[in-house]
Amino acid sequence: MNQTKVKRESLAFKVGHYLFIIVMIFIFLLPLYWMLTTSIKTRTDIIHWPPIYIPKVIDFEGYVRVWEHQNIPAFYLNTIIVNISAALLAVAFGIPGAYAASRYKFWQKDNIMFTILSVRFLPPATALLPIFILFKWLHLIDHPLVLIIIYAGVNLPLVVWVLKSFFDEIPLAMEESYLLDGHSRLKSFFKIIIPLGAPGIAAMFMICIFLTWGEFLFAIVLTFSQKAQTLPVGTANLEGDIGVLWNQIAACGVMAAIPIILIIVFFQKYLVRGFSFGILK
Amino acid sequence: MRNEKLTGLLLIMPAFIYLMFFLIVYPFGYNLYQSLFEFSMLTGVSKFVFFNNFIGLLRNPQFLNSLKISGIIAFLALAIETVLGLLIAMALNRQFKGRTLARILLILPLGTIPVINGYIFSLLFFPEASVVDHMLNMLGIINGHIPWLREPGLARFVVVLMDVWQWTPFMVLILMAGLSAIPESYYELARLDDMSSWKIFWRITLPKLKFPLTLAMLIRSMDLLKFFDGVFSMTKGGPQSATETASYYIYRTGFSTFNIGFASAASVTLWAIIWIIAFVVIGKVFLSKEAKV
Repeated sequence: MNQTKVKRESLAFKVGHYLFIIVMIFIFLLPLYWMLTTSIKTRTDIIHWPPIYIPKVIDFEGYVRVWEHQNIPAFYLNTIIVNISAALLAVAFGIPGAYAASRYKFWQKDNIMFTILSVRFLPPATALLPIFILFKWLHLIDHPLVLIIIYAGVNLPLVVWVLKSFFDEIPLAMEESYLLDGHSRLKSFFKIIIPLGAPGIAAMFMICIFLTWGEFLFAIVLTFSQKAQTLPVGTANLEGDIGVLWNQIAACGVMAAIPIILIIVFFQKYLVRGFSFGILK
Repeated sequence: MRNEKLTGLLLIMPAFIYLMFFLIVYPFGYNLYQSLFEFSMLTGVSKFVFFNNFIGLLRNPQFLNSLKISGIIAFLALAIETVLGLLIAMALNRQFKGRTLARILLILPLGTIPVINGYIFSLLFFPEASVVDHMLNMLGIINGHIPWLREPGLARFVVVLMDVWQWTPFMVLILMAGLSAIPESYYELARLDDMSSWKIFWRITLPKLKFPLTLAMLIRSMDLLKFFDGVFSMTKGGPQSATETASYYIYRTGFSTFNIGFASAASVTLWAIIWIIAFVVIGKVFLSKEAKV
């Protein structure tokens, strides 16, 4: 298929194309490389002129210190608990909604779907104060539950829209023949939709974790101790009175990024759908 | 039939009510209520001041500045992300050796934590010891140092670059999906017609990308208006408020100066702006015919 295309391309074009890709990869990997090397540099090598591109001495002090002295294990555990629970909650509320959007016509459907969508676009900063007051009244400030509830809400619009697109792809005929066999709608939902929609549901679950993993604004306002603080806030705490602990921050950055980078690499083909609310595949 | 309609409504209600309560009606209502009062930290008393907070807000140079800053950052970042994203997506759309690897490497920034990126970028642009300065020196583009984070305009540009770095991959992913949906036959016909590559881009590629491009730009611009994390860790809104975005302003007035009425009025205003944009643009794009295909 591409034979004709290849022949037509001049050598200069090919070289230019490769060069562009290589330069882009270089630019896009530089901050990641810098984070990685900063995390294993000695403190004096971090801010240095000329910059030290390849650390002469490898020092894992940053990792050791955050792991042993900075409560990072607690923050890491909180991050995992909060994001997994929030994703489960969002999926649990999202599945029936997505099923309704995919299979039923109902009153004010377009308006309801639009209102759900609009939440995704509202700046979190505007809801900060009311949410703080509400959860203070419920005595839930600095409790993992508060972030779970908020993150589930933040991701819910996306879950409804994206899962709808997955359910749309399950042929109606399959459900209809099952119903004709005398089964109930509820049973067909569990026997047809859930198993066939499972890959989509699993992907959406992972995308939810990916999207709130690094959330910072709600976390810094609604939590203030290791009981509930997550990695992004725990890391920002390292910018303390004695100056910025660069190597420790970078070490946290590396450790925090690893699970998410794995998610985006393995769930690559679902990312577009997740990002575009299920509209693009 | 009526039963069907009721079931659908009942099924969507849990999600709808959840969102309505936690993120729409309650926060908006609370903000609206608080915005009519002036809260004094000294006495702990709230005084009903009617629309005074809104009037004060519209006269407040800091708030207006924060809206302007958000707008500038959003505009610049969106422009760069769109052009760069389109170029990368087109480059990745051809067959070449190492394509899969290149694609993975180029989306990695999406997996990083924004607030931590702020710290990494302040290292990359560190005064007098900046890696970027060093590279520009080696390439012979500049001689000496650039006061990146000390100069208002430059600091704002670094904030933009940080967003470009993390979110251009988002553009790339969406545009690549759009590109792969263009049938190869279009290009074959164009080549039979001896169309130039330039013409092919303007006549075929770009028109066919209109919908994914609009969608991606829309999502990105709305997210850019929320910009907060990187500002918090890199510039704290400075120098001279050059990077104080609307979100950062609300956070600062609400949670460090405790000017609650004022912060609420600012929230209501920002909320109204976003809702107007949402109604005019988002509804049209998302519920359009193209979106339903």
